[in-house]
Amino acid sequence: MFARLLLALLALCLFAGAVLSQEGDSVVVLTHDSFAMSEAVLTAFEEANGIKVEILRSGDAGQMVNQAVLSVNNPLGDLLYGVDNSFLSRALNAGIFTPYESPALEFVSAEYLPDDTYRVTPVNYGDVCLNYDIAYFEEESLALPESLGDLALPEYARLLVVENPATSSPGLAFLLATIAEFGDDEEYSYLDFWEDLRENDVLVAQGWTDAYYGEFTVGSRGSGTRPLVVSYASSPPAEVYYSDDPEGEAVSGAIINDDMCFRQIEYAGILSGAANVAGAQLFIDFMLSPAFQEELPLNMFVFPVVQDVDLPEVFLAHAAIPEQPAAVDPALIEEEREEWIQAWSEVMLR
Amino acid sequence: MRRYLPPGEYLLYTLPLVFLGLFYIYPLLSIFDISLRPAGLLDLSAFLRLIESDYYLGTLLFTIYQAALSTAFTLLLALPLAYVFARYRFRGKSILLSLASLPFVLPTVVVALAFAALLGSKGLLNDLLRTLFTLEYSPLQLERTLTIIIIVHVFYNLAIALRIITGYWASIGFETEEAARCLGAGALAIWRDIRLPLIRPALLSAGALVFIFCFTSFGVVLILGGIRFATLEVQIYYQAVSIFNLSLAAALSLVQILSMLAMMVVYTQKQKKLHLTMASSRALARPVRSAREVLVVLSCIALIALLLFTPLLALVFRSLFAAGRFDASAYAELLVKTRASLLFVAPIESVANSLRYAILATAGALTLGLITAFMVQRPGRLAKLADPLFMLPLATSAVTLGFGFIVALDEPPLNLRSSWLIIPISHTLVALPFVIRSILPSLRAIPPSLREAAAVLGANPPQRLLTIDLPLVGRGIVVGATFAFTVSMGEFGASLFVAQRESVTMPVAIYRLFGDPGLVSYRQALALSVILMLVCTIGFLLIERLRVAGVGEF
Amino acid sequence: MLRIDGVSHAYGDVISLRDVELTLEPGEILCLLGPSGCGKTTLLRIVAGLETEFEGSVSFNGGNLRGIPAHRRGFGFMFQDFALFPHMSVAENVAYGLRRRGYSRRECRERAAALLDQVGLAGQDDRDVAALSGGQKQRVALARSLGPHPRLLMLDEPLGSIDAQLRDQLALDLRQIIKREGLSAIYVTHDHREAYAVSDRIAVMNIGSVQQHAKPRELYHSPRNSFVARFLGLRNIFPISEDSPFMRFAAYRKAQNQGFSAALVHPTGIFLEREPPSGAERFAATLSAVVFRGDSCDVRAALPGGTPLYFAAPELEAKPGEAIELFITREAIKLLRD
Repeated sequence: MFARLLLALLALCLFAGAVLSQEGDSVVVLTHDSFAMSEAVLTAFEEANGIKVEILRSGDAGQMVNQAVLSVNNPLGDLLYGVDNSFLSRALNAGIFTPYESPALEFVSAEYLPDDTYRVTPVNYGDVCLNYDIAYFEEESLALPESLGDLALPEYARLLVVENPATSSPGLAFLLATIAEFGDDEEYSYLDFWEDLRENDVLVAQGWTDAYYGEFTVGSRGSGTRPLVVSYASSPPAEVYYSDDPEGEAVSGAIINDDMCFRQIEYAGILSGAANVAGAQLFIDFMLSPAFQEELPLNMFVFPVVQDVDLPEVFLAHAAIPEQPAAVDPALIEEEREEWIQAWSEVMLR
Repeated sequence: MRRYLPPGEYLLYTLPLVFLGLFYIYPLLSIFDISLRPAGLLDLSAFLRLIESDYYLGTLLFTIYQAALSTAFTLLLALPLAYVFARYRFRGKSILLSLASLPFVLPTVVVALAFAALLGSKGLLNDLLRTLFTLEYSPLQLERTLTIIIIVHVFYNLAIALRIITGYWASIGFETEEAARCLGAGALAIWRDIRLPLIRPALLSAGALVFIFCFTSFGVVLILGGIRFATLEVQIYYQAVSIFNLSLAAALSLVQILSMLAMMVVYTQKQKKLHLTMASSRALARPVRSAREVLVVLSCIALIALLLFTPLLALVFRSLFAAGRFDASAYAELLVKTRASLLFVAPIESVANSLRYAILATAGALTLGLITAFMVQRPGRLAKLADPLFMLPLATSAVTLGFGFIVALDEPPLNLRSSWLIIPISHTLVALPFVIRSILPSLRAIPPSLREAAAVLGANPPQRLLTIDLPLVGRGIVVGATFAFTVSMGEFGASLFVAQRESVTMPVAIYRLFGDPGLVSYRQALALSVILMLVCTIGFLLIERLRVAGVGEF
Repeated sequence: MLRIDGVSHAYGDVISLRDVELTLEPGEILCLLGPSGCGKTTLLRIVAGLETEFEGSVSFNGGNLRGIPAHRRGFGFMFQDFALFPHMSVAENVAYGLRRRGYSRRECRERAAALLDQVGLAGQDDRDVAALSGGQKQRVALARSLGPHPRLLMLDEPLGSIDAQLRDQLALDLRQIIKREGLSAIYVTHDHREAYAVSDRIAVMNIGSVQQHAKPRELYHSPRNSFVARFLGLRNIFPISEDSPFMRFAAYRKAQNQGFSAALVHPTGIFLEREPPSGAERFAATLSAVVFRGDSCDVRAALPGGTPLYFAAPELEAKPGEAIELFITREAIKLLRD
């Protein structure tokens, strides 16, 4: 009796499994947890092309790339979106992408292209920098840090929340900025600086969402405790836009002093062995279309790579673009990235 | 004299061996390979790094430290409770003891969420304190502290320690301490000279077991502690998934495997000693007499209720109430698939997935477990070898297993990496030792004469199996099935590596949703946790009943 | 009917059976009697098909049993521990063999009830076997083994776990039931009294071989060797010696030449009466001890030179230490081989 019941259940399960695994015509976008895009835009694409768009979030940017690398033989989706210049080499070296030269690239400045192989297509960029709680710094009559080195000063103790570079791409970008600033074999190296930040009780969050919405006083609407956060130069306008008064004053600001920011370019690429290559190509074209590009600032607080895309009012009013982002040689990043992260983890997470 | 097995039986016995070889030995060897030969050549740099940097030593030390601390607190709490349970007879005692083992079947993610719902900065207790003292901030800051990790570990392991110590205490009785009292020993002297020395074996055995559980704790530490409180398990996950340093992850796995093996050896020896002394006289608990004793018993009940049930109630409460009003919308949200969600599918799909995998894993673990138990139970060299062999997965952490799966099973002909099958397979592997351990004792307790009697009465071997062996191990099978089912429902460490896209399981879905700061996701995580908790609890109760009603004691 | 021919068996290096020859006639109850470890249970298990590795042959009604598994032999076996199935009721236990033989559920129920009635357990069908007393379990086990009309019934110490007081009665019951069913049976025991009560013939075994194979009375009165005599509880066994007080008996004097090594003075041939049976020799002795047994007394007396003699006698007046006269008949002297 029991055995028969079990058999029946088994059969049912296998059947259910078979039904579930059936797929219609859809394109699966493998991306990071921070992906956000307005439904209207995605739906418009779906209706125009008769393809369903499915978003597969796979953790932070690093985890997403690792997942994609680990499943290189059995891609989890059709295209990957959200790998940035700090992680790009890992993905390229693992050979997870198949080249595609989108016709829409003609509207994109060549400076955003990593090389001329078209394995990935740039979609947006943003500058990772410190955001601060304007009200807090006014109330405490505290001056803003003028360089990264200032963050180790006692007056900034217990104020800063950063992201773990191992699990977050802005975290890695910020780490790269500190490496550009302090170097990795100077007398006072980036690790010494981080050691001092640690002494200064810096808070390490796992990802940008944790840090910004969980710990940053502005992003968390007060439930967080840190008035300084590693975020994007474009976060303050987004903050205003989503506040109760989209026309009002900014509540947070970005510190865009020279060498305090790191420019991230996010790319999309078609995964080798994708089930729906045509759909993936369509989606990449779509990501470079004005409809998608215009939505980027207010959905993901980043800037479109396509020139002449209209920026929202609020961006024009509040966004700042650093004049001199920190620069680290991409080849060096490629070579040392794991070692830097490892060393950082060993210092900061003990 | 030699006995030859019929070829059919041999074929059957190779089934679990092949399974173990493919899904345990092979992935493990792959890990060794990656850690020792990351680029195809012998390269010990990952190990050197482990030794050179005090960071990884720190991880190991912290793993030991938190496990030791958790064990100490668990025993400290279990000791007086066990005394009361062993000493006194009171109404509802057995129900309370049985309920106290509920955490055993509760998945780590559920428990982690329950404690976050109770003690987190946005938890129930902080709400209460804020309202009571009109505070603007949350007075209790327990998230990402060692304290909350230890509280949860105590919650998890109290029942295990309680059961071992109570059982042992009840078996050695209380005559000696009564004798000591007559000889003039005071309360302190009795604890010091009589009780503690007498129950030492049980304390050591329970301690060893709790230590092992806390040593391998993953979900609780990952969710409530964060990477700064990384145990070996979390560190392996971090190195493999976040930093992508596979050779270091593999080297850490190796350390983990070796530590576990060492601890298992110690534990098995302690366990043997415990059995040796268990055979002494049995003393009966006596009813509660004085008002003081009533107070003691009541406070024990209150303590257990407080520790075990307030977090679970907080979880349920949080899922049903929002902003002080009844709001069950979180459950309705589970049915919705949105592109904004961290999950690829509607959260409710994870319930279907988990149930499906749990049933498959239960069927798989029962089938393989039964075959293995029969193989282990028969005389011969094969059996002697197979017994410890099939216990090995128990000594291997789930994270290591999951990691082994993704590095080993990604190429044809064993290309399971993107198949959902990999999940029930990994759960079967994790559940298998539990099933074998549940079946083997009752199988070994069957006198050979029963099978012979059946044979002489005309039963052929399959009939003997069906009418004698299986019914007699029925209870063991049911217990094993419970284990397999709840282990699979709650499995987190391995699933986190292998469950993806549509195949997401409940614990993984809960972890993902909980990690999202959005309120909707958070409440979805709570609702899913409540469902998972209910499923596990129902399974637990159902099988407890079945066990009483269905198969006779033997 | 059953022929055991040159059967040998060993557990590893330990030889448990050595070239055993035995036969069983239809309707006969054969008892295998011997101390534990003598191989009697092994022999039984070989016949039942529970041990398959042995030398020699076992045949039944002319057919060799080798290669036929236990469940196809159609024999009954009653285990020492009864081996009742703990997960079945009394009636289910009894019906088990019937079900295996393809009887319908109804037939099984009826036959089980009849069998239980026969062994004195009428109406106990639905009881839990764990709740039965030792004697009841024994009877359920018997009913179970009788159920499928076995061609041969084997009983392995069936009264081994029963109180000594009950044993005599149960042994008698067993014999009656077996006879009533017209079965042939092999009965293993280490208790000679039980063997006398149950069997038609007894095979006494020691360290793997049959020492003597005879009817109960013949066995008791004429044990073949010292082991058999001693195992049957006979104690007046003396090595043959030139200065023995028994040199008075002609048979004793010839013993050495005929290869006997010891002599038994059978207690049934020792008397204390004033009127001795004809042909009895008179011995002077000292009374050493008297144990009152109710219907008679166990007496120990010492012949001059200290030779002790044990025998039973009716109530006697002499006190220990007093001189007495006793008579030993010629028939009482039994010569024993090694």
